[in-house]
Amino acid sequence: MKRLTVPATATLLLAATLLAGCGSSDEPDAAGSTEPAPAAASSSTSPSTSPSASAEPAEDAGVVVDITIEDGKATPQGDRVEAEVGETITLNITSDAAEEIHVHSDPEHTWEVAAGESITKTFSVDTPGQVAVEAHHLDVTIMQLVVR
Amino acid sequence: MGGATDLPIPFIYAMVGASWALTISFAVLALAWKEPRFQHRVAVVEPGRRRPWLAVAGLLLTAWVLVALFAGPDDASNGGLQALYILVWVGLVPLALLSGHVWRDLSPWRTLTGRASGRWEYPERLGYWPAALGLLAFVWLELASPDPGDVSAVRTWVAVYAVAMLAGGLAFGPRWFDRADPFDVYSALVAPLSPVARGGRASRNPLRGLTTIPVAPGLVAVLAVLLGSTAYDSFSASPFWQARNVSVIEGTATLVGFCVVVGVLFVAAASATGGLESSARRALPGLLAHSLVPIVVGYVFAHYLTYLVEKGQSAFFALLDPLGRGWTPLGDPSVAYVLSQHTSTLAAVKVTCVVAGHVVAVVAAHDRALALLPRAHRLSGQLAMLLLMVAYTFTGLYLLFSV
Repeated sequence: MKRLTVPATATLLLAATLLAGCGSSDEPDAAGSTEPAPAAASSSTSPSTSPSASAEPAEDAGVVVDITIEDGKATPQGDRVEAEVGETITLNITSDAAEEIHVHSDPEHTWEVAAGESITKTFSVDTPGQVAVEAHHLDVTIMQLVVR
Repeated sequence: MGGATDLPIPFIYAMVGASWALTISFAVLALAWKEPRFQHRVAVVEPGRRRPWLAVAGLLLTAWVLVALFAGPDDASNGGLQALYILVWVGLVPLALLSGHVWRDLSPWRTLTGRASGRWEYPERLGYWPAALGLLAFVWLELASPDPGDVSAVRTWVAVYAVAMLAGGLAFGPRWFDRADPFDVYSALVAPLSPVARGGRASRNPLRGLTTIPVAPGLVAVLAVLLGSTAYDSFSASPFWQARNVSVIEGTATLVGFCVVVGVLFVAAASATGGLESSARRALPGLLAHSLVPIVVGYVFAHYLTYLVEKGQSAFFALLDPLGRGWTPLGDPSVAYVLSQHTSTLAAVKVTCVVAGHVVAVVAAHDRALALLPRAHRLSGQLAMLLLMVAYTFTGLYLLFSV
């Protein structure tokens, strides 16, 4: 038992380090930051799990969530949104007040939204777990990404 | 503290765990020994001298953490902040479990105040209540204060704590730390579960070790704060709670409510037996409190294991860079997600921790009940406690599964 565990743990550590190394390389922040949400993503504030539910036939849009912050209230708030490891996650954020969005993944993401602005951000999560997306000034959890 | 949290455990894991817990509980009640096995030798071993090299190590580590906390960055990347929440608060449990009450040797406050017996006798009727309040203050800071990641709040908390410990130690001597230092008491309660006793010079059965926990007023309160706050931590991440805008007052009241419910139910269940004078009945909760320790430890492990193993790495790297200058003396400070990457294994480990803690608790309670209850009520007098333990464990598994 003991003899097995040590190399096994070492391998796990090594594998995990390699994975983490690949993942943390660069943040896929290609989407424009001040552009309003692309048309395809505007279906609804769907905490929808499924990439297949997307109306976009050309490519897999991954998970798309519309977030609205209005009158001091975030919509959604406290939802669970399912995603897969490595899947593209797109957030379309509209806010009527200056807000700071935190994504508690590793690496963390922090995005500023100016009052009356809409931003679109894309990222992915490389480790299974629950990743909170929070509105910092309102101090609420918009949603937990359940990444499997 | 930032970072991801665990996935909910799969339903089937929770179900299997719950079934085992239930089955073993009633098997213990019905089939286990009918005469107490671990109670007769009440040899209270005088604690040995504190090991000087550990006292020195404790001073150095404390100094390091305090420098990082007070001189480091003002945001959540502060190494002292992470070390307090992760390495001290959660790391304390496996440390005590593996090596006994090493905290007593490490404690910088014990070292600085010396072995002198203090100016006054510690008022024994206070019992563990100061520690229970200290623990409540800590879990409030971590779970219900306006911003747990606020470095200045943590600095204030630590400063008040350090002053209270030094003043108490000078006033009442070492007894103060046995009863009033929240971390010292926490460690002292977990340590009897360790097979290592007397600083590594002896080994013992954890079930026998548990019986050596000194009973004093407030013991149930300490354990209720530990168990209730861990459950609150889980509950406060639920969609139900997150969908609400919870004020600090509501959060605080709910946290305290969790601890109070855990404690009151325990007191009620422990005293639910026939055939005893009311004074003897009132003593029962304290005398049975040691059996809560394994439940606390099992649940704390299940809840905080990933936190310790994975965020512990970032805390360690942050401590290597105490002033936030970007020092990486050991190379790339990236976290190895050794547990999160293996979701099924992790779920199995968590359920195993909860069920193992439950089983040890049920056995410990059974054995002590045999010694305490009148012969005619030996089985019926244990029933309420057994059901309560099953309820604690089911709640724990439900929170692990649903949040």
